[in-house]
Amino acid sequence: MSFSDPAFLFLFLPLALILITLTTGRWRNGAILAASLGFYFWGSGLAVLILVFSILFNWGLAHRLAGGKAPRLLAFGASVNLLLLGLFKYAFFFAGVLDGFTGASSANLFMAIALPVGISFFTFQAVSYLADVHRGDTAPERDIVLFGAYLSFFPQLVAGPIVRFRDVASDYRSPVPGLSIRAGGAMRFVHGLAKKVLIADPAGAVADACFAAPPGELGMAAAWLGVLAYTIQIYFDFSGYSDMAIGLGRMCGIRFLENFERPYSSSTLTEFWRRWHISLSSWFRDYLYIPLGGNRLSALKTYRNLFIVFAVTGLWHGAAWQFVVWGLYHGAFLAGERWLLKGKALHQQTIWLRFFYLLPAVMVGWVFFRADDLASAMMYLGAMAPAASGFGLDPEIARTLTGPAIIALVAGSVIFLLPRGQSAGAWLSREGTMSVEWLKTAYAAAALILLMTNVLSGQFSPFLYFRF
Amino acid sequence: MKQSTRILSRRFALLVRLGLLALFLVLPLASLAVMGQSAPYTQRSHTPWPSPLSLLSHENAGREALASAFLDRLVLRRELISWRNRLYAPVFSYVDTTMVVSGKPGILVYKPSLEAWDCRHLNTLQHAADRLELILEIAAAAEAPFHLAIAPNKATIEPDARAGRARLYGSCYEAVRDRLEAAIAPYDRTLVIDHAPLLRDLRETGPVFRRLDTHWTEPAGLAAIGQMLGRLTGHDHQVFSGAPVNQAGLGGDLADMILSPERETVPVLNQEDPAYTALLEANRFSGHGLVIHDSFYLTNWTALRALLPNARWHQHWEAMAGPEREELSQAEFVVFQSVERSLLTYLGNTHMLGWDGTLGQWLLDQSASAADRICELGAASPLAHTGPVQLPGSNTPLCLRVEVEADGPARLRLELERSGAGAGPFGEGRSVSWQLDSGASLILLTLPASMAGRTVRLNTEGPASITGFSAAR
Repeated sequence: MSFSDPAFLFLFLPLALILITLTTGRWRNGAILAASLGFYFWGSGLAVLILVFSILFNWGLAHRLAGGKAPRLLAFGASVNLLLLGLFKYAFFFAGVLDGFTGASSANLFMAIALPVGISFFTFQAVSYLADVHRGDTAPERDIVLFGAYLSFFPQLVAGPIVRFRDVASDYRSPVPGLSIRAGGAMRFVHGLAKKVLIADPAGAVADACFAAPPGELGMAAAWLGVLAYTIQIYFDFSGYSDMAIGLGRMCGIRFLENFERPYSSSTLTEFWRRWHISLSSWFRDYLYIPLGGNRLSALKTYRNLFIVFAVTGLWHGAAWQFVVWGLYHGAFLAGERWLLKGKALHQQTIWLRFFYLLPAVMVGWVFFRADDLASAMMYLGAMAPAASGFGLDPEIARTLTGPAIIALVAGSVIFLLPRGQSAGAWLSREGTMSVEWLKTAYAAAALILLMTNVLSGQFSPFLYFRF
Repeated sequence: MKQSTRILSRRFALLVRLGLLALFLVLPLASLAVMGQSAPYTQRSHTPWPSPLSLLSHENAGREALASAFLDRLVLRRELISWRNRLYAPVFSYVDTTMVVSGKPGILVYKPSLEAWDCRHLNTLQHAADRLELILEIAAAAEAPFHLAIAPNKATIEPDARAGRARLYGSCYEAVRDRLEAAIAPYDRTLVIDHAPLLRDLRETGPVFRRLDTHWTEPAGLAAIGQMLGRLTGHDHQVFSGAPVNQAGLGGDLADMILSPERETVPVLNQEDPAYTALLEANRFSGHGLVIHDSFYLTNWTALRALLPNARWHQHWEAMAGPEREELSQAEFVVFQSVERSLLTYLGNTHMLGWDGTLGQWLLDQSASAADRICELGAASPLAHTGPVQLPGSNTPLCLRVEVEADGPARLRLELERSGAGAGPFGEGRSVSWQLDSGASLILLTLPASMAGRTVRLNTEGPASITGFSAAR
């Protein structure tokens, strides 16, 4: 069930919010847990049992890990979580790779396994919890209902952000009170939904048409239009989802950390990864890059670590070669920047770097991310080259440039131009003068009217990050 | 004092924001409770409420049905659809929804029906056209009492309407029409009842399609039904084009959904006129048959019932699985009517016209009976390999006999070489398939004389092997 699905907005969410708001104390976490399991069951049926197993297993194991005891038990716990992820997400891919060498057909065994929605997210939360308990960064939670509410909390269950227990435990124990935080959460939710429905979806229709063009029939202009549309779509889709998750969390009195900080305003890829999907990149930094040695060893080992982390980051996004290549592509840029710039350009607000280095590099990377497979990605990149066929848009693509799509592309492109310090999300969160406050209220009212119209009369479109 | 006013004012603004979101979330449910259910769009019905048990099932079909049932019934939704399109039309100068696009000013046309409305899926289109051609070949060879009635798209009859935004879909309309015409051309005067030429003629004398709807007008529909009746009875029923007509202002779902509740003045049949009743009376056909139709024949539902009093009726959207097998076997004629834009999407294996659908299986039964009746098929010879087999030359229909032994549920697939130049000798659409149960199965099939001398390929899916094959005249 996606957050822009009418069933979520108009059936599930009102009931869940009423249930959570009307309960207090331990009952409140019980209400969160019940609503979250119901939410998961609605979309995924009995796959909810995997989530229940994850709650029970990790809650139980953590008590034996406290205070740095039994490192083998930590390895066991992490392995069980990752094996679960591996079975449901990667078994088919790796069996296919193996079959390529052996000529066997073992991949068929895993073909029918459906990927439980959000398994990558809750597995990473569970592993971080076990590691933090083992390191002594957080105490094992005694209350299984509270822990279950944390691991399954529906706003961030299926598409993040990846929330660490130590960051939110106190909010689950005593939710942050106050009208201000709840109204701020409501505003954030509306803003996120608007980003998704009014910008990401219409831009996505243009991207879909361009990426669906048969090989050899895509001109250079269409290829660049497609990748521009996708660059807008993925940011507004994913950051919109994070806004909604953060907003819903606040409405329930639970504060999540930010997941996006204007990534397209970066000057370098290194900076980009500090602003894009922050909860994932910091997870990999803390639980993979640093344990591998980070940058404390030789330069060569630092580069090795970067490549390992980004290959795994790519694989985390999808069990397919194009994701691995996308990860390695970013890893290569980060290694190159480390070697050439030595961090000098990191905090420079150089518009030239943004437009002539960062954005083209990120956009080319998105081709690997969006294409159906590696061969399609290479063909698409070929079409983007200047020597490729003409500038005209064929009718199939021209058709997708509807009024709303053009508005979405233009509005979405503003994100490339805005100075780094300015963001609509930050503006909405900041306390302003009374006239500004009423302006925000007017924005919410206008956005909600458009959203109601689009959501009820339009086509349903799932979030991109649901597949990870 | 000022400070406290500011605090109060700020709190009020925050409360308003929370209230707006709360209103947004509960408004649809509240509108259903207060305003009741909306009436379904014409010729549609609401998704039924699912059973409580289905909501608890692992499969999420029940939960999806609940969401659809809820949305279908919202008056608010209907109003918003209309409101949105009324806003979009003047702002963007065109309407382009998932199904309908604006053409010449004041005219709406349906989009060409292809996978995801994308004309680049020509392989899918070719596959569907091949499948249609094969269905007609098999029906013709079996002499099955089958008729395919095709209601043309408005864009086919009124190509000048494809201006404005609809111009962007021009090549797509042509691609679909070209392939459809190629597939039906050999059967134009036998199995296929193509209403397009008739409507082109009628257009010379007046409007045959509505402006703000994609359906034909009542008089045009009656003329088309007359053409269908003519094919069933062998008599000329062109008299319908002279039925008494009035002018009336009509609304319609499409106008509601897409533009405005504007009423357009269109010719309607004068059903009160005794001449009209007499016309229907005089042309009544008492044959017992089956008509599977869409909203085009439904335009003239009363006339259709009066003209074919003994026929049984099925609407596509009410019976996707098709009629019962027994109903088909008792029918003296079977008419499958579809609008051009949807026809090629009705041919997948699981649709009623597909080989697993009841209509597809009825055609295969008819074909098997014909093979038994018209050919002298001896015992099948063992089939040494599953490579291509050349059929004997003949100027009469050919019959195939295939013996298969299965150890469990399996399928037999027969691929037939296509005629003329194409993408290759075989294609996905040029194949027939049968579901096999455990044990021995005997498959018989009649093919048209045009298949003589060409090759076929046989293969099985699942635990089955072909134990014998023969072809004869």
